[in-house]
Amino acid sequence: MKLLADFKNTFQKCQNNRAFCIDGKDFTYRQFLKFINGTAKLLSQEVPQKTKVIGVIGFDAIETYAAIFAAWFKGICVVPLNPKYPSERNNQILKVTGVEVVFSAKKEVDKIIVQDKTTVFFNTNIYSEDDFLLAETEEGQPMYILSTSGSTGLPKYVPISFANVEAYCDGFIQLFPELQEDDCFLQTYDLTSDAAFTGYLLPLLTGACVYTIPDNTFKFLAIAKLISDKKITWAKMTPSVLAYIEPYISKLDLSHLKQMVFGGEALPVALLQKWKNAFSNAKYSNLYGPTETTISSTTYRFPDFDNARAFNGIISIGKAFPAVDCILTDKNGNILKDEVEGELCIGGKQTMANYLNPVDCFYIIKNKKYYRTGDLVYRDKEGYLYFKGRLDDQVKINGYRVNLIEIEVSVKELISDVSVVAIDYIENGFSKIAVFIDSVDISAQKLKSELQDKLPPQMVPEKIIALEVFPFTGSGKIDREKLRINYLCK
Amino acid sequence: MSKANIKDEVIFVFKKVFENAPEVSEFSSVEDIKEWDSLNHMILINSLEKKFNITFDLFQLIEMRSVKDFIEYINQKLENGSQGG
Repeated sequence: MKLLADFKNTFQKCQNNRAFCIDGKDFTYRQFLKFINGTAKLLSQEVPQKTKVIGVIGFDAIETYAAIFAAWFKGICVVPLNPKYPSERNNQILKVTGVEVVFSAKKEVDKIIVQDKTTVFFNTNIYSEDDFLLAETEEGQPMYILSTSGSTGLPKYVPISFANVEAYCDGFIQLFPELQEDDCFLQTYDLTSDAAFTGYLLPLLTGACVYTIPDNTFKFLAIAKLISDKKITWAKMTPSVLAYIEPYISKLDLSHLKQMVFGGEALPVALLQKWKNAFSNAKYSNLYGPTETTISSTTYRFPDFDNARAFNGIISIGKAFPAVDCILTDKNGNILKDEVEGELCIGGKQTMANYLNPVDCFYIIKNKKYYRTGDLVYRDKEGYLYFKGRLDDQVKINGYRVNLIEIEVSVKELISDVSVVAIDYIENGFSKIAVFIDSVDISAQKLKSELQDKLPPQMVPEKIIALEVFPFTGSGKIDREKLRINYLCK
Repeated sequence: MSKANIKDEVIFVFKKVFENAPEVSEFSSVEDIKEWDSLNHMILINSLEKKFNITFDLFQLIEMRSVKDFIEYINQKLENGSQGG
């Protein structure tokens, strides 16, 4: 496999280029390599040889990226940890993924992980001139593991291999040949979201510069400020981010932007219309893909908003990446042809082997394995794909996958003997979650606070509504629509 | 509007946005109010802009991390506004 060698060659070839701009501070590729060498030395000297996987806390620091690349260059799998997640969640991730060693760029880790079974190494300011040999990686060897919200009420763990990522990177570079070493790429995603990989893998593979969002800032304002920086030429973000900073469109001069990349959520035409004058010189692309099929599986590139392909007011997700095979199926797993809607299933070199705790999530068709996305997708006459909705209870909150069942299960773990219903709703254009419980004896404030200690921020409900009894449908099911209409639609 | 009124009104808006936060006072900051995240910051700004009929400077907003920061900013903004008018 050539992926690791490609990275290292670029780092060496572009050593005087800026690799990162982090919290206003520049780092060249030469400096970045020294940080990688330093952390790699720490890995060789202090960490047991048998270590196959490490955790890296996703602080905004050069040492965080150095730890990730040092591990990869040594063939070690990385599990990113979110400093904003409660320690209970992070510890669950460490336990399931078998991580015993964690690297951190900052000392403040007490609230992020409980250190009883984990050794934390601080690679703050650790660098070295000593180079080291790249590891040989094998087909199927995992490169990273991410957790996503699961339909069984428990998170799912997605291992993605070096080969999966190599296929993704090759595809991206083929589709976006204009990304060059003089570009500056604004990376707006948390490192635990796979969309973040686009924001740093691709620029680092081309010798471009990655701009990051500092920790402990108000993210949306920080993005607005950074994107106005005349140096930024590429930006990738969720459509929600644009919606949040929309009141400031008129104050932002974004004529320097060459490429706006969207991903993580459905992209509404109406939202883009508001921005069309701001992005006067940019080209646009919409990326789509579940974590299970490696970062992005389809893309739609469109030259302007007015002529973009859309269906029901949502911009097309385009066509498959080069190494990806997209099919639509009916509910029995039969392939549907031509202009039709069905479940999108994804095969090819970017599709994961299976979850860490394997579940049946594939169709095998003519000896080829297709991951069932659970997304309902329409395909037009020319083969362009359009996202229409979910086939289950999964929703997107600010670009994050959230399964409503997982929230219901978490509430039931805290309070027994109650019925719980989690419902998503839109308020002022933003997606939010409400939880209904059929007991008025419970303090909503206390429950919310307990959920904050248990769940990632995007899964904590905005509203907790306690009712004496739930409304029921004629067939005896809880009437979710009535709850939504009576309590959530204003 | 007097300075005392501005203070009370700002605190009132904070209490409305952070329904579940305990005692909000002029001395509360990002560190004290758990729900004061990026999203609620935007909602807060929007509520304060409507309440006082002002617009915040986008880049100054990044630095504003306490109730007091907002009270001072709004005091200044309203003073300058009345002088100009």
